[in-house]
Amino acid sequence: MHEVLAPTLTPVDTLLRTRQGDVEDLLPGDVALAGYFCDCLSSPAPGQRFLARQIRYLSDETKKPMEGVLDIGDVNVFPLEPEKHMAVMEHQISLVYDAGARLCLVGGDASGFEVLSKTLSNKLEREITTVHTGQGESGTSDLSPAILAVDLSRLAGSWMSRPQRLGGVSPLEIITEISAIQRPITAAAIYGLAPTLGEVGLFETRVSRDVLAALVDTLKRRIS
Amino acid sequence: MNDTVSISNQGLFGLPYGGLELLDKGSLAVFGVPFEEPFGLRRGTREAPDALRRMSLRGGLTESAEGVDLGNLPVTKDWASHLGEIVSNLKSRGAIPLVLGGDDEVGAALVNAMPGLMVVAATPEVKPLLVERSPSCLWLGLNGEQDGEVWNLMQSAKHTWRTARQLDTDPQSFPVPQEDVILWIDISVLDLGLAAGAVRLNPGGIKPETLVKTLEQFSSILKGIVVTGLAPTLDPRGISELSVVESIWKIIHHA
Repeated sequence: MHEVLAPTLTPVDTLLRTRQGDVEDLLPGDVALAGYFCDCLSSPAPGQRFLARQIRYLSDETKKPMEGVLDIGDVNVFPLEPEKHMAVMEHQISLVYDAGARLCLVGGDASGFEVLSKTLSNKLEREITTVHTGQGESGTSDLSPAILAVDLSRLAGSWMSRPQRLGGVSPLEIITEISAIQRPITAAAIYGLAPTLGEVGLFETRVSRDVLAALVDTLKRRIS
Repeated sequence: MNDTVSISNQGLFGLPYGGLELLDKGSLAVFGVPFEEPFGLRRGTREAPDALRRMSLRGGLTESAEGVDLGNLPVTKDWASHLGEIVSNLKSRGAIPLVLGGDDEVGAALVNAMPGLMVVAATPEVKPLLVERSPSCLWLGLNGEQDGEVWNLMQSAKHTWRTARQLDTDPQSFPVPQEDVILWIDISVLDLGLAAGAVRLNPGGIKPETLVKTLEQFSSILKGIVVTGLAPTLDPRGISELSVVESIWKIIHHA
């Protein structure tokens, strides 16, 4: 008789090794990470939609799971039907907001950040401020809640596997800026980078993962 | 996305491919010379002209350039004399040749085709061809590996030079010549650790950003540009091509 071995299942890769969950699992104060699989609507560049997936693949390298942070999967997108896409996005963003959690969209193009800003402005019935990294706004004395936009297309060529320009900022500059933010962050989006797939693209994916980790730290810090 | 296989009707900086008749005075005449001596451990300069074209398109550097891409010069036995004829034709039209090598022989061929002009050489090593040439040279990015004899010779011929370290500290640390010049960019001037696509190893070279800042100062006095020593396959990330393309782009924009 052959011995029957029980199959060993490995856990699903999640962003930063966070717990996998759904919108219903969110508690007030949680940070909800969600992939944004859309790169054809605003500042389009094919490949930006893969960023969340690539970070998930690399997230088992991070040191410890993060508490109070959930990976709720990818938001539903309809890139070929922009009106439907926006309506569905607004609905999903509202669900997370109503649960008292803070949404962080990962990957895709700038349209994710734009619909995030629009939806939260509608919810709050006023124009919500946006803090863009790289524009010297992190040290502002204004302590009203804001959305944080991290545009990775500003990274210098030396941090990319297929650079398109030499100039730009280093990951350390972005992380330092994110960490220095004093005002409460209601939601965030990290976007604008099309990682090269496969081994070659590990470089910029690790960079993006580390920037995302700093972003989540800042989101958590503002909650506590 | 694989950008090593592409079909494009755009030349360097998106310039149209065409013939000499399309050139106006002061416009840029791009042509590649994929000549490479069949020896050496680090090879591949014959692939540089097309790699530079691809990189300029990948980086989106396609606006505001005026000129024509003439394509690549067939590398026959007498390619150097053909290069001389083309350059002579370009001079009569007032166009500025931008020659994409190839190895050092291509640089030498352009310098020989434009006698009497000062040469600004961005290179880690002194090129013997230029040492005794008149007028004298401006050397940018020398790495200190030169023989004592060469230093003496350059001093007696009143050559000016700046080392890689001096340029990294201050890219404008030298007097810009007041006369027309040929610019020779030997990609080995870049630090090997930052841009690996050079045929000669130069671990103490200048940073890519320094190259851009240094060369843009020559925009108004350039009468010819040649790029040599770039082996694209040695730098899969393409920083070496990007450095050259951005430098020339800045030069064009300053002009």
